[in-house]
Amino acid sequence: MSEQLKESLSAVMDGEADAFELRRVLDEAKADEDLRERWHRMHLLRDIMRGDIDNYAPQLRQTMWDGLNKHEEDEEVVEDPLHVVPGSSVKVSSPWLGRITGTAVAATVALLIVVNGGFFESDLQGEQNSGFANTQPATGTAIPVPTMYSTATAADRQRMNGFFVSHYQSRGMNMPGVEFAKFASFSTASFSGASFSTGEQTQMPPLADSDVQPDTQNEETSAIE
Amino acid sequence: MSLRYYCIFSLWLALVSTSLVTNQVWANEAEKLLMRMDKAFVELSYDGVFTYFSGGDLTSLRVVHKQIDGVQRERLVHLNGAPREIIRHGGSVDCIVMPGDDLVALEQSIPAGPFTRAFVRQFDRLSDTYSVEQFGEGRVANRMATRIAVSPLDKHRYGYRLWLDQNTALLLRSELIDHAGNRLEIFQFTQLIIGDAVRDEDLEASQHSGSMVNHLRLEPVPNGLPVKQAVMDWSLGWVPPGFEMATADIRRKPSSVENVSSLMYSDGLATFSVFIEPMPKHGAASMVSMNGATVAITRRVDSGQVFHLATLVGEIPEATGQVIIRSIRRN
Repeated sequence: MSEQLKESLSAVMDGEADAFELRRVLDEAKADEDLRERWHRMHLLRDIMRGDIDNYAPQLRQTMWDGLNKHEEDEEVVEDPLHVVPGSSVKVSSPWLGRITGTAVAATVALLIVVNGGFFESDLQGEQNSGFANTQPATGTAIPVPTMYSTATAADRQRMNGFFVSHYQSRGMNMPGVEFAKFASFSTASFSGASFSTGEQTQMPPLADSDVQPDTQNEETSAIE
Repeated sequence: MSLRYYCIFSLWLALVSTSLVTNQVWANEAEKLLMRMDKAFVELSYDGVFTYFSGGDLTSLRVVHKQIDGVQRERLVHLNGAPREIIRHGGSVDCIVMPGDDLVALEQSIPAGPFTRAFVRQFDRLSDTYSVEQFGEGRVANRMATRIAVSPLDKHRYGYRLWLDQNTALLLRSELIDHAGNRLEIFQFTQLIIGDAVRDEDLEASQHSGSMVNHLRLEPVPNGLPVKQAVMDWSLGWVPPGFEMATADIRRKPSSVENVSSLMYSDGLATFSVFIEPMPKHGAASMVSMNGATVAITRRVDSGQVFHLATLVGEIPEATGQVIIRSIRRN
C-alpha cells in the first residue's frame, strides 16, 4: 500500500478528503483487502480511544474489566505478562490507584490486540461454520464489519433500496408534506460518501447560516443543543 | 431590614414565576402551532416549488396539493434530472417515470403492504422526548414565518428547526439536525401559492410521449396482512424512550414468495421501520448505509437453526439503530 493511499485513507477518516480522494479510496478498497483491513483497524482503534468499542464488542471490554476487577478484589499482584506496564508488579493496595493501572492495562492490551489483528478467532470460526455465504470483506476478526454501500453487491443494494423506499412510503403516507417529498425524491444518487460503516457524515459541507439574525444566533444554538 | 429582604425576595419570586409561566405558554403555543402545521398540510390548497437537500444532494420539486371531496390529491414533479411525477390520489400512488429511473429498477424489491393512515403525529406527547420552543421570526419564500426549535432530550433522535407560515401554519422550511449541529436535511419552499388560486388541472400529470413513460402503481395490497403485535413473530427487546409501535404488518416483495414482517415505531416525530425476512441465499450479513438523515442497518438474526435477515431503516442515529436491531427477538 502506497504512502499516498495511507494518507488518503486518513483524510477520509478525518472527513478531510475531497470527493475525488474519497472515490479513489473506495475504488481501491474494492480490490485491496489490505486497505479494507487497515480501514477496519483504524476505526477500531479510534473507537477504542473514544470508548465506543462496547457498541461493537461488549464482551471484549467486559471480559477485560472482569479480569482486572477480579485481581483488584483479590488484592493480587497485577502480573505483567505483556511487559507493557512498568511498575505493574507492585502490589496495588489503593482501589483508586488500581483503577488507573487497570485502565492503562486495558488500553494497552486493547491496543496490542488491535495492532496484532486477529482476535476472537474462535468466534470467527463459529461464524464461518454456520454455513451461510458471508460476503463481508474477510478482515480476520469477528467484529461484524458492515459492508460499505459502495462496495456492496448489486443484490444487496437492491434489497436495501427497496426497504428505504418502503420506509419512506409508509412514512410519507402517514405524515403529509415534507415526508412525502423524501419518497418522491428517492434516488440512489443520494447515497454519498456518508455510507461508511461508521455512519459519520464525512462529506457534510459547512453551510452558511444566512437566515439567522445576529441577535438570535445564540438563542438558536442553545435551543437546538 | 428583614422586611426589605422579604420584599426583594417576593419581587424575585414574582419575576421568576412570571418567566416560568411565560415559558410554559410559549411551549404550549409552539405545540399548538405544530398541530396547526399538520392540519395545514392536509386541508390547505397549495402549489409551490421547494428544494430538498439530503445526503449531499439537492433536488427541486413542484408540489400541488388540494383536498377535493374529502380525498387528498397531490402531485409532485421533479424539476431536475430525469422527469418523474408522482400523483397521489387518496391511498393510491402513481409514479410516472422514464425508463432507467431508480424506482423502476426497484419495483420488484419494494415490499408492498397495506398502507393505511395508521398513525398521526402526536405533538402532545413530544414533551417527554423533545423540548419545543419558539425562537423568533424568519422569512421564507417571501412570507413571514414563526420559527420553532424541536430539540431532542436524549441522543436517540435528531432535532428539527421549523419555519411555519404566520398566516396559515404551513411548513415553509425545515432542517433536520444531528447532535453535532450538522444539518442533515433541509427542505425549503422557494415559491408558493396558497388557497383558491390553486387550479384543479395542475393536479393532472403532464403529457409525456407515450412510449417513454413507465407507470408504477403503488397501492394498498389486498393480501398484505395488518397484524397486531400479539400475532407478530418478532418483537423488539428495546426501543428508545418515547417510541411506540405505530404499525405492524406482513408484506411481500413482488420478486419473492417470502413474507417480510414489518414493524414501524414512532416517537411522534421520528420513525423507524424494521423488516425481517428469511435469510436470502446471497447477501451480506451485515451492512450499513446512509441516505441523508436516514440510516439503514442490516443484521443477521439467529433464532435456533433458522436464520433471518433484519433491516432497520429510520431517521435515527446509527448507534441507536444498532442497539435496536440487536434487540430483535422471536416471540
